[in-house]
Amino acid sequence: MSRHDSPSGSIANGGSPDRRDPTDQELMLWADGELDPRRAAEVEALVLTNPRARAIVAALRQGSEVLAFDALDRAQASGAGSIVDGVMAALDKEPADDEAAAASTARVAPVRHLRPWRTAVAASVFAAAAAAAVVVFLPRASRVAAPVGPGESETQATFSGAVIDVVDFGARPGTIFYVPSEDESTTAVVWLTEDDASPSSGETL
Amino acid sequence: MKQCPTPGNKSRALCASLAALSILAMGPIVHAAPARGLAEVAQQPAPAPAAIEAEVSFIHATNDGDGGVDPNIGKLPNLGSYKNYRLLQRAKVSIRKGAPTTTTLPNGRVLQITLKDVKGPQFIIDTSINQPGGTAFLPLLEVRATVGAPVFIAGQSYQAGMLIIGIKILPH
Repeated sequence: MSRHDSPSGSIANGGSPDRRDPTDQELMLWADGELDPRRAAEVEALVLTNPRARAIVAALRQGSEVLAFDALDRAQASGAGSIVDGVMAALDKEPADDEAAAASTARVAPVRHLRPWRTAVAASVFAAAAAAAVVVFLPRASRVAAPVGPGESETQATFSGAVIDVVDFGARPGTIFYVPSEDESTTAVVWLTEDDASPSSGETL
Repeated sequence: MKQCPTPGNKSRALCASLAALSILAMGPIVHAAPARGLAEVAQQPAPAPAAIEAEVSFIHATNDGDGGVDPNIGKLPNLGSYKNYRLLQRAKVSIRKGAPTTTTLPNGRVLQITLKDVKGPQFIIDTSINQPGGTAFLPLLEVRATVGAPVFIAGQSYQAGMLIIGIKILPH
C-alpha cells in the first residue's frame, strides 16, 4: 500500500489538481517530516491557509508531546535511571591492580559472532517485537488528540465528561486545561488570550 | 508460513528476511482489521439525532464587590482569582448537524456551534467565535462531550473583568 494514497479525511481547498487536498495521513507524514519535499511544500502552503489542517497538525503535535512525556514517565517508573546508576557504580568499583582486573575480565562472557542467518532471524524477531509494540501503544497515543474511532466502542460506552479534540487558536496564543472536580471528574477549560487591537465592544481591561 | 527446505546459509538468511518482511507488512493489517470488524458486528448504528439541545451560559467575572459565585451558575471550576462571578445570561439553543447555531456574546462577538457527529453517548460539536466584522477570533474548537458535562471558554476581557462561556449538552 502506498503511504500517500489514503482517501480519508481530505480537506477542501478548491480542488485544484496541482494543490490537491492533503489527506489526514499526509498531514501526519508532513508533521513528522516524512513527506517527500515537493508534496511537503504543497501541504505546508495549504496548512498555512487552512484553519482545519492547521488544527489537525496542532493536535498531532500535541499528541506526540503527550506520548513523549508518557514514555519518559514510564522509563522513570520502571527504574531505567537506576541502570545507569548501576553501571556508573560498577565503574567506580573498578579493580585497581592487574590481578583484580584480570579476574574481572574473566567474568565477562565472550561475545559470540552470530552466523548471518541467525542475524536475520534475530532481526525478524526484533521486527515482530517492534510491530507488536506499535499495535499495543498506538491506540493509546491516538486517544490523546484524535477523535474516537469505531473500534473504541467500549471506551465510548464508559466515557463521561468533555474532552477537547481539536483547537485552533488562530494567531493568538491560548491554553487548554482540565480542572479536577469533587466527584473525581474533570472539567475542560479553553483559555483564550485577548488581543488588545481587536475591536470588541465593552472591553476596558 | 512456508518452511525453508534448503539448509544453506544464504537460503536461511533469505527465508528469515522474508519472514521479517511479512511480519512488518502484516502489522498495520492486524491493527486495523479487528477494530473495524468488531465495530461492524457489535455496533448496530442507532439513528443519530439531527439536532440536540445545549445550554449556553455567559458568566461575568469581576473584582467588583465580594459576591463570590452566583448560585444560579451552578458548579463552576476555579477560573482565575476574581471576587465576583455573576450569571449574565443562560439560553437553551438547538444545535444541528451541518447548520451552525449562532449566538451573540455580550462583547459583540458571535459564537457558532455546530453538531458534527454523534458516537454513542458522545456528542462532537464544533465551536468558533467570530469578530463582529466576521473575522475569526477562535477559528475552531472541537469538543467531544457527554450529556451534562460542561466545557468552559474563558479569557475574553469584558467590562473590567472576564467573560466566561459555558456550554453543556442537555438530555434529549
